[in-house]
Amino acid sequence: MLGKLIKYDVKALSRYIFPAFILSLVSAIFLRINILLRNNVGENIFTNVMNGLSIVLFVVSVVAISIGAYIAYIIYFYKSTLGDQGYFYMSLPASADEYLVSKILSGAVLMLSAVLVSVLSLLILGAFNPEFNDAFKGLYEIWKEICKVTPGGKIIATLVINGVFSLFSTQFVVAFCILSGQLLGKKKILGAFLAYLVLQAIEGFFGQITLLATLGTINVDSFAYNDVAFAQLFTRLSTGGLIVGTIMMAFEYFVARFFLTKKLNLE
Amino acid sequence: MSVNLNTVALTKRYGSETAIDNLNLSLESGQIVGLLGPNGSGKTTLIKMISGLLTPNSGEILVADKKIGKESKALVSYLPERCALPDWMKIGELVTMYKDFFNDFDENRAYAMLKDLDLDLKKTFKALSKGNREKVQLILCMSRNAKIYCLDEPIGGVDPAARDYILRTILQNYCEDSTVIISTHLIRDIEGVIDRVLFLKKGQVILNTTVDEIREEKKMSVDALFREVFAC
Repeated sequence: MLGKLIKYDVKALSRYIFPAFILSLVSAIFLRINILLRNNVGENIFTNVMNGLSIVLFVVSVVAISIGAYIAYIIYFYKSTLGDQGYFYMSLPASADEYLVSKILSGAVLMLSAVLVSVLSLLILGAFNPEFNDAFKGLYEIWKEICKVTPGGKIIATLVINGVFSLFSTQFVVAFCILSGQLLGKKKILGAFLAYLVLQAIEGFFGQITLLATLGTINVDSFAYNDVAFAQLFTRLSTGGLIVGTIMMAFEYFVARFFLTKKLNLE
Repeated sequence: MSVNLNTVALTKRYGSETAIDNLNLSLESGQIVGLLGPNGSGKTTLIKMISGLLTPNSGEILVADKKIGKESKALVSYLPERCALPDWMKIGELVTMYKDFFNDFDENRAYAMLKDLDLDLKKTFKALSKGNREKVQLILCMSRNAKIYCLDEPIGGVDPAARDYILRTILQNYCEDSTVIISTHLIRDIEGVIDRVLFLKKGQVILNTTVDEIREEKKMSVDALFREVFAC
């Protein structure tokens, strides 16, 4: 059942975001062509206007993908759980865990697709482009400096773990907020928003505690302009953030599950 | 005959309002049951609780001796009063989806009924008229070999010819060891179809009897009795 739920959730979600993906790739190609045109033909009114238009289109597509993925997920989760389609999905022979895990995994597929399309768009824009090559070289120089103070592997591992974490965290928040929003009866959307504010307050509180606890482990005297101490702080903050984030995700999941099994109220 | 549905002291409240009040009910297989009552009597609430869309405040529901959950949902075929299917999907895709999700779904039956309606399987659900959408939902619902069919207002909002089609589809396609529960206001239309009647008032069953008993003992139709019982 889980596989089938994921299949249909991914299918439904991709409908929302697919046009933005196409727009991003097409606008990247369009912008690249215009840059080449301007470099070869030189600047004139036509090339400047086309360049401007293509930049606007590309920026719109980037925003559409980055924000659109979140909005698409929120809308789909609500519609398929508490909206009209909830009358179908909630009557399926699936457990609450299967339902939630499907939504979480399909959301991760959506977020990962958004990242991959964004990267592909940047590659289309920057591949074999001297200006972008300089930018990549600059990034590589920064990377070499970072590796002098902390093992590169550790940085990569931290980034990968944080990246994977960020693929899933939104889905837990959305499930928590939308399902606990039912507490306000007919004002579910207001309830979801209030639940989000409560969650932000809780996360902010524990985030502050984590920050203070982490700073307490650093020798403040050695911190002043000390790359090693700074790298240490970054690693410890990341670890602390991951621990708090994982605990919050578990909390959000179990609350969402509770509301799905004990308090479901499809009016 | 087996007992397909059992409710024990079932109660559902919305704030201070009680929608279902300490309901005790037992329905056997092989019956088409008309769940009748005025607006706000609790018909839809009861159907939603059987289908697992609402959690009762107290009491218990058993579907073929199973508590409401994954197993009971596999035994209940639910037709909501609204269009609940993803409207971007094509009719053929909806049939495939039902086949994927429900082990008891008979796709050949579904295709045969859709063919009778002369519907293009490549048409999207949202491109259909309201009446055809209701028919497609009903066909998918009745193509399952379920223990309980919960049909919430299946004939409301459609023309008389469509109503006849829907009622015929229900009669021809339900399994004889199952129970069909139809909630409706259009009593005259379903009187010829139902075997048993449940009158619901303020969340309580005030009458639970067969259609034959009403006609023989009270010498009136179900519609006439309804008007008498619920007269304003």
